[in-house]
Amino acid sequence: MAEPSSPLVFPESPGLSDRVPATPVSAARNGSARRPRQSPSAGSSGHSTPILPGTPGFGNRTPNYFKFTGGRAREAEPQAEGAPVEDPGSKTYVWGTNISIDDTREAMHLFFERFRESPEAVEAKYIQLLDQVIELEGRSLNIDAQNIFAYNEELYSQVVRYPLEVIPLFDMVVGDIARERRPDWNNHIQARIFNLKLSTNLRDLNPSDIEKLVSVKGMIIRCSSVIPEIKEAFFQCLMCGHFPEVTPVDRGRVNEPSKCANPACSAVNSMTMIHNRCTFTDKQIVRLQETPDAIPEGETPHTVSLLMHDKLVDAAKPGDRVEVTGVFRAMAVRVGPNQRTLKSLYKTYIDCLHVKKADKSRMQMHGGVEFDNNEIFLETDTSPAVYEAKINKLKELSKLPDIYQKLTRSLAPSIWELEDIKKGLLCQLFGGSTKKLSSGASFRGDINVLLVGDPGTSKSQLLQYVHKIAPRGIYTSGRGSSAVGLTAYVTKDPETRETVLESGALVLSDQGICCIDEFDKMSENARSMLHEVMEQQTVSVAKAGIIATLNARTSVLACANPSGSRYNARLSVIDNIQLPPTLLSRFDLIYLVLDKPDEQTDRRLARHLVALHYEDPEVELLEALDLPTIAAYITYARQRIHPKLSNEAAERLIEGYVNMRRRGNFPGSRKKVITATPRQLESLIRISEALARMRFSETVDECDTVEALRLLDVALQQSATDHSTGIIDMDLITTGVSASERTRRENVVSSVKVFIMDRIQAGASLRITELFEDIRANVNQEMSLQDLKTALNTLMTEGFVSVLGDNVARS
Amino acid sequence: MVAPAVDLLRNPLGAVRGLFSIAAMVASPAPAATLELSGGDWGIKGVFDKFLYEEGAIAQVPHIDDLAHDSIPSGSLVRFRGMIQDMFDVEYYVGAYKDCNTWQTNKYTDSPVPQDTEQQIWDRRLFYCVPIPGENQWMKNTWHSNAVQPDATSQSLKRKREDIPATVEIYDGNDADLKLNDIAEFVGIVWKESELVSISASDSSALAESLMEDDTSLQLPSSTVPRLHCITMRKLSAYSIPSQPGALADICSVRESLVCTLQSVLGEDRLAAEYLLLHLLSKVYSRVEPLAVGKFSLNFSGCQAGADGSVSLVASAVGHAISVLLPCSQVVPLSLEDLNSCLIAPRKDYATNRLVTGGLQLASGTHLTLDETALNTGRLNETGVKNLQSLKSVMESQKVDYDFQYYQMEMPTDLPVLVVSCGKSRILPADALVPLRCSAEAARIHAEASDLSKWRIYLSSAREADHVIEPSMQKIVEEDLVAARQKDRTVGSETFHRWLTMARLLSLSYGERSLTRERWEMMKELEMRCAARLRETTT
Repeated sequence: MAEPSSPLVFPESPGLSDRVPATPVSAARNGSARRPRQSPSAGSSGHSTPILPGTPGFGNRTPNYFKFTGGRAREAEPQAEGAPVEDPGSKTYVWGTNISIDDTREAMHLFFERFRESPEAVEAKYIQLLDQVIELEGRSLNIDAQNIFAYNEELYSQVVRYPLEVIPLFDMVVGDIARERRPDWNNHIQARIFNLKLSTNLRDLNPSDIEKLVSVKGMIIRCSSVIPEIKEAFFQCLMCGHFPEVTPVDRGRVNEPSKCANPACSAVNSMTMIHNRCTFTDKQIVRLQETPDAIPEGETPHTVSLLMHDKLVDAAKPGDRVEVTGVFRAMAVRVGPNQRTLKSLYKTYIDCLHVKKADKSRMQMHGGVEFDNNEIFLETDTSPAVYEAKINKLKELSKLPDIYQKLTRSLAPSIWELEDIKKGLLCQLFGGSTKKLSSGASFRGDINVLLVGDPGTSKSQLLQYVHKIAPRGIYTSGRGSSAVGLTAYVTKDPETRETVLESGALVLSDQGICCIDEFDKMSENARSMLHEVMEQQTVSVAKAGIIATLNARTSVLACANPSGSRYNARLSVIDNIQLPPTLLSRFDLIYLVLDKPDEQTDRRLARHLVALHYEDPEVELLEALDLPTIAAYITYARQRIHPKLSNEAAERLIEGYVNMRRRGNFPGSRKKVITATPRQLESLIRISEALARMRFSETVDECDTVEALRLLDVALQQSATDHSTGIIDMDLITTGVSASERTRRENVVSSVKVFIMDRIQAGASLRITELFEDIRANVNQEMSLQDLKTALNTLMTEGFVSVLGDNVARS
Repeated sequence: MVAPAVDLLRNPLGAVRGLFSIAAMVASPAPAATLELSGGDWGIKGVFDKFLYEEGAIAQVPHIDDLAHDSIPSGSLVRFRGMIQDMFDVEYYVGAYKDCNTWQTNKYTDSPVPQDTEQQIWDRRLFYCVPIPGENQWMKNTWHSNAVQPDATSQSLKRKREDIPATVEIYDGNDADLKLNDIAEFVGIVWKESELVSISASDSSALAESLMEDDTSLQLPSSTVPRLHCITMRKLSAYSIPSQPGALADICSVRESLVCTLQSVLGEDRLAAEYLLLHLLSKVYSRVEPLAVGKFSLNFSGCQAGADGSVSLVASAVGHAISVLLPCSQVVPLSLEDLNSCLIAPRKDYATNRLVTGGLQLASGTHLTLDETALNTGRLNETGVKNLQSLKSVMESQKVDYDFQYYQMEMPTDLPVLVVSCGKSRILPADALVPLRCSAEAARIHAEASDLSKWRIYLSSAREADHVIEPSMQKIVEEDLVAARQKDRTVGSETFHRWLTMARLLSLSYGERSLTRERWEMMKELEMRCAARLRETTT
């Protein structure tokens, strides 16, 4: 079958037998091999059935081999599956190269029979896998290209360079081995090679990749309908009804018998194809687009078409992020049908061998899926070595003594100050661990955070940032989202009239963080939905006859303006927030983001802004971790670290909780301040766990609980609140105070304490101004009256002194 | 490299083929060597660059849109200035084929190749370019005035020049520094099919058809949209104007005359005119996520809505003034119907594999005047809400979210926005709010052509200039900021940003390259007067 378009009889074929180039990629090969092998040249065969052509793909692999006998190239018969024609004395080569078919098959056999992942393994890995395939009547065997590389580098490079010739060999070898293991085995098993050493950027594909094995990552954006393609044609004679054996499709073409094979009939041109008895395979065209993170700024994403066969059809849906391995191919474009001239354009696509669904950019909570080599679509993302190195880097990071500070600094570095809030958000990102009791009750590990504060205090920016690094983060504005927008929505599919549940933000962010901006603008209805989500972690939908309970194991990060749009210092905290206490108590951390005068902070802000406008702002951010690192760090911690409460920590927690309860016990204060409830105790546990996770520590230590108590305290400005009235003393707000400033204040407190111990007898009292003068004169420390007042307040909560009007008394 | 003795202007393909054959010969007959030919451009760009830019022949190259569409012969050298509206996938084409044992190139053409020959596949990139959106007439005239009509026949046609889109093929990886919404002038060979030919894949199976179905180059056949095979190109910016004969002699007087004119446009409001000038000079000069440093959007409040739904008087007067001063600008009346009807942010249509443009797909530097007085009370639908969000995101962070269905892609942009509204605009938060105090009717700009050209050059050069701050001045600024904040707690980082931006723009408007005490105080004076007005309006 020497058709003129076949590269096999290309007139310029260099003398292959003696001029095999050292580098197998020769220009001649490239030039000719790129021509369409399957162009059904007009009039070349009158009996070709016109409906049959198709691009040769891995659906029907029929490679081209050459057999050299005496230096003259002659085409070998297309190899029947598993039964290569052996012609003793001659050697078969992959066309245009010095790759011997026999040697390659030998290498493959060895690979299958000998390759073991660890020296201790009793049986060869792929023999084991193949047995499984046979057992399950499977049709494909996944082969890790990294394994091939580890066993035989040459074989690996052959597969990558000449996949069209070498992969069918793999199929044959697999078939041979399968028959060895089970003689009655009669099915074709496809070798699906995946996990190439190099994954090509979709953007970087170029003509030199044509007909090479490539691996690209991207997002599926369009799937065509399934295209049936004929594999075996069934003919029957119209005259006598005789039918011969099914005719296999050879490179997209079927040879229609011109004469009835029944000697009694022998009618000419009487054979007709019976569609119902032909065998077909599925094909599908899928469009793959670059993932957003691979696109350089200011460019549009590139796309590439994928050709899927058989089992790969519908394996991935639009929106899935996948990594595909396949052969990059080009197909000529013709000017008008049936014309001999070709347009100079080629259409490219990837003939897919293997599809791997990957979702690397977002973190998975529950340790991901187990590594299962023979399942087509689930594999780990990276090679173990790279993964190991990454983990080690993260572990090293976790050993840094200042990792907590470092993480805090790296969170939204463009936002100035608000350190404690950032710490709270970090806790939310890390999360506590979910506990499931044997009784079936479960305690959520998600930490919910509410930010309440004046407009223009960068709340929204913080939200945006969290949304960026959060796993499955969803960002929504309370103003725009109705109850259904947040939860779930029942629609009718316009085409099928099926009722479909469309997930809302909360369901979509299952196992992630749902960021809700303008929480106060949200309708009462929508907010009431949150009650269920935030404690039971489910959403119930009862609509159109569907009653569904959907999982919504999500952390909520909400931000709201105070009820009067600005914080009113004359009102109590509760009056300012104006949210129902039932909802409020479901938030673990409620931050009042209040602005308060502090010259030091102002100065730093001013310097920061001037630098922003005039200098290279990069310099300032040097010390921060970059976004992918933080994301990876958080992912690892959430997956692998499940800290347990130590005894000391537990005691410390109890003590702290009892103190909190006591503080809220002023007569009549119940309505004015947020009193501690058992929910707060749970919050404390979660926050402590999150803090331990940040250190990659398996136990929650005392230091974690101390910090957790402090965070909870700072969040609501507890230390600054007058508990009898619920009013915050604006001078005492600590949010946004930097660590160094805090240390300074602590020093002031301790030195004031020492001073008071010295000067004031128990029960005696002194005017504050006098005390101030006294300290100023005697203590070698910079201190303002304000500092003193702050210190006294702290001491008061400790019960060390009492302040009555202008007088300080030691109790 | 010897320049081939062919007329580059009239027979550019001849030059290309000549250079290729020289290169092919030099590369020796070894087949492997032809691979090397695909990498370089055999000196073509160099030859054309020298011819066009050094010898000034660019002026003789006809604009693609100066010619009647059907009068351009395939293979002639033309130029095209436009904005890149969409970038398509890499195209694979037969770059060279062997004809009777010699290699022929097919680069810079779309001509068909004979079947059954040895071929080389090379790649190129196709861009869809449109006439620059919002480009003002004077700017177009400047570009076209120096174009010479190629011959008498096309001149005699006297057709009205119309802006047409074009597709541009980019070779040799020259697309690397081109981005979406960039403006560039492409010089290359125009190619078009004589008739509409149907193109199909080499085998007509259903499979091949579905592969071809969303092929973008098929949707834009060169018989309807001219295709330019780009040999060389220049990137342009939306603020720069083509000819700048030397520096301006007296910047202060140019500034003064411009402010006076703006003042009359704004109904004799000097303060507003000063703010408007600063606004016209603003551009984003650095980005620190999520901030776009340098943007200075402006809101004029106290404007009356135009009679029966037309653009308000102020908006139309200011819009007109800006249109004669800046190269690209647009006035957008924000009416409910318009907001609700179509999306202004571009989105990807996966059925055609093309980017559907929207009102906000503009080249950086394009000025937008939004007339909020046209907004009536009513209900916004989903489209309307999305549109307002897009506008808000432009004003707040100078970014437009392009809708790629499965994800949003943030495209950084730089569109100075002026909002004209009755009260303070709460929907569109501007960096600075100035209540207008008109003592006369807002008037359309009246000016001599020479003044106009001076102002255009002034604005363009001031906008491009760099600016620094001395350490001593930095101290003063810092002290000032701290003091202001200690005095008034409502002064926050927003105000600081505005002050720093204004101070910078003010210096630039006087042609100064570093901040001085004088300009800083001047800025504070402006802000004080503006704040006083604001207090008056609220009480």
